[in-house]
Order: sequence, then C-alpha cells, then structure tokens
Amino acid sequence: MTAVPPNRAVPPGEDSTVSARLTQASSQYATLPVDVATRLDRVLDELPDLEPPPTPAPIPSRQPWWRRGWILAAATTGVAAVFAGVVFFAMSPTMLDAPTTADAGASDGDQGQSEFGSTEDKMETEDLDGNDFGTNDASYRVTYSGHDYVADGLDYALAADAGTVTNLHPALVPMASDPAKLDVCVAGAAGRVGGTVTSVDFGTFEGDPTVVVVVVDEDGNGTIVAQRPACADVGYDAYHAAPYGD
Amino acid sequence: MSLSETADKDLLRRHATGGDKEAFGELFRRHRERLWAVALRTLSDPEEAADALQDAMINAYRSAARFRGDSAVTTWLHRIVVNACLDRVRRRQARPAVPMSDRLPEEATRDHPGAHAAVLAVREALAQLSFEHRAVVVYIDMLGYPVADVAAILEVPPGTVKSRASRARSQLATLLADDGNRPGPGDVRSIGPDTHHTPKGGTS
Repeated sequence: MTAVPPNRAVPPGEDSTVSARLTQASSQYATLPVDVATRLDRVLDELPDLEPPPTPAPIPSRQPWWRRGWILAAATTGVAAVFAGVVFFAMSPTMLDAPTTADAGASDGDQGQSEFGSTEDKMETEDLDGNDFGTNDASYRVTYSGHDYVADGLDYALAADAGTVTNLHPALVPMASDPAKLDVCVAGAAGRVGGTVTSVDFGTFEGDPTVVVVVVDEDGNGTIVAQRPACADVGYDAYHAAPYGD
Repeated sequence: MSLSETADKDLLRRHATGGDKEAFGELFRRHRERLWAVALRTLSDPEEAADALQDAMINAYRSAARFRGDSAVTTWLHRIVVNACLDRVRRRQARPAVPMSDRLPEEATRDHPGAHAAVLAVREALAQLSFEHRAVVVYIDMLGYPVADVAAILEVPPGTVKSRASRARSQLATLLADDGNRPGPGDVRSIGPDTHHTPKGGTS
C-alpha cells in the first residue's frame, strides 16, 4: 500500500495511480552526496562578503512612444533607456521596415481601423496616455499595440509604430492604469526567466488579453513572455514563453 | 542563541544586513537536502542538480537583501532553486550533451531490478513533460508538498498548480502505460515537508 504524504489529498482514479508511482520512484533518488555538500561549503567560503546593494541610478520618466523614439535617437536619456533602446532595435530589425505614422492607418486592413488610431488621432496619443493610462517611471518601454501574439512564432511585433490601441481589454486596464500592478507582472516575468526587462506591450495572445514582456539576460539572450492578466497579482502567470531574437 | 536555534528569517537578515556568512551558511545547510531533492528530481542528472544547487546558493547569497519577507524563507529558497533548474534546462536545450538516458540517478539500482526499471521509466517520462508541469508533480507527488505551498513557490495561482498537476499526471499516465502504470516493488518512503518549513505568514 502506498504511503500518502500528509496534507495531500489523494487524487481520484488514474491520477492516484500515477501519483503513487511518482511517490514510489521518489524514494529511489539519492540524498545529497557528501562530495556535493563539501563542494557547496567550499564555494560558500570563497564567496566575497556581501556588500550593501548599490543606490539605483535615476530612472528616466516614461514618454509617449513617438517622443521616446526621438529622445533615444538623440541619445539624451540615461544609460538604462539607451541600453533598452539598443537592445530593442537590435532584436527588432523589422521595426525599421514598419509602417510609418502616415502609413499606419492604411497598412493593416480591416483590423487597422478598429485596433489602431488613425493618423489624425496619433497627435492625441499624449493626451490619451495622460488620462487613460497611468504614469510609469520604469526603465522599460511600454506600448499598447493590441497585437495578437501566437505561440508558434511568439515574436515581439513591436507595434509602437503601428499605433496605440485605445480600447484595451478590460482585464488589462488595471495594469495599464496602475504602474504598481504592471511592475508586479513585469517583475514576475523577469524573475522567472532572469534578466532585465526592456519592453512591455499590451495586446492579446491567441485572442486572450496579455501583457507581453521582453526580458534580456546579461549575455544578450532574449525571452519573450506572454503573461495572463492575473500576473498583476501573482507575478508570473504566463500563457507562453519563448526565446526571442534567435 | 546559537545559529542552529535561530529562525530562518533572522539568519537571512543577519546575512543581508550584517554580512554574516556563517548565518547564511547555517540557513542553507538547514534546507539544502530538500533543495537538492527538488533539483535532482527536476533535472534527473546528479551533476546538473549539483550545478543548479550551487547556482541557487550563490544567487540566494547575493540577493538576500532583496528578500521582502512576504513569503517564508524556504519558499524564497525553493523559488531560486526552481529558477536555477529552469536555467539548466534551457541551457541543455540550447546545447544538447549526453542523452539523459545515459545518465542514471545515483542509487537507482536497488536490490530489485524492477524498481530500477520503474524509476528509469518514471524519469524518462518526467523528462518529456514541460518544465512547468514537471516541477508541479515533483513537488506534489514526489515530495509531498501541499498545493498552496507549490503555488507560492512557483508564483502561480493554486488553480494553475492543480490544472498543471492534472495535465502532467494525464501525460504521465500515457507515457507510463507500457509499464502497466503500477507502482514498483519495495517499500514506499516519501519525503514529507521540511521540518523547518513554516507556512506562509509564519514567523521564521
């Protein structure tokens, strides 16, 4: 008879058989080997003493996407914003071929009119940002493309040039209006995959509301994470994650 | 009060604020057996597990000051180990080395050849699950953690843990069907929750 660990409900039917098999197999695994324990002790001894965390550099304030792009081009923002822009441009070469502001309204067919603002509306984006979206002083770039991402080829479309969606899915409004909630989601993705967040985009993942987070590690490898709206509460709750920029 | 009598959070605080390496050492030694259990069952390869555990220890050592205290210290440590294991999996996927079937868990061979075959079948089946699904069944079914604790470690809702566990078991049932999907011979000894583990909101 399989011993059931305390505080664990026995799942019904086939689940219980698989569960029992896993429990049985678990008993066959080795405990921590002495040589590994010794190695850990040695490594710990060799670690330098912990230093107080450095004072973080001032974080540039968020700008509307069209103004941010101009600032980056002028190279007048802080190192973090410049780094984010360099990585972003390095990983999204197609952005150079993306529709211009003048083309945005005509380049996306039937979808364009419902999801993206017209040329005339673009100059009102700044007002829309101030009234409908919260101010975010984070060092990562935030866009509201409304792009529908898919698992097969989860690619950061970087629809900043394609426009800004004005009718966010209701499930995404809390994160769009409260930077603290967005930070929880972003930190959850970064914490899971490891690295620095460079870009965030509000859109959909195969039709469902998502916040897409682009994380770049110290080796320059990117991971794109499509987060569910619940990430604002729990940190990491992803539909899908995939390497980016291979 | 000796280090062995000091609560987890106090040990971590002494390390983070006072650079007390001995305090961190005591904290990690207190929990490393269980953290090893997670790494070994998740990665299956003892060398990878050792590397992941070392990486996790270093990460925890360096990031101690960022512990916010909104979870148990053990939850935080497990989270770091899980992330370290995930990093290993990704590196392995990027640079395939020796096939997993050529590397066996230590002491996988017991007196019963059937037990060895059963463990091997389980290990190979686990390897075919996604990391997220594998981690859930490792914690719940192999190590006996409650769903709530697993949810805190993996930073997902309990419902997500349950659905992943259900899906993982369903996949494993299919993968293990050739073995008749029955437990192997021998006594079953499950590793219960860590004796130093405190529930969320505890005082450690």
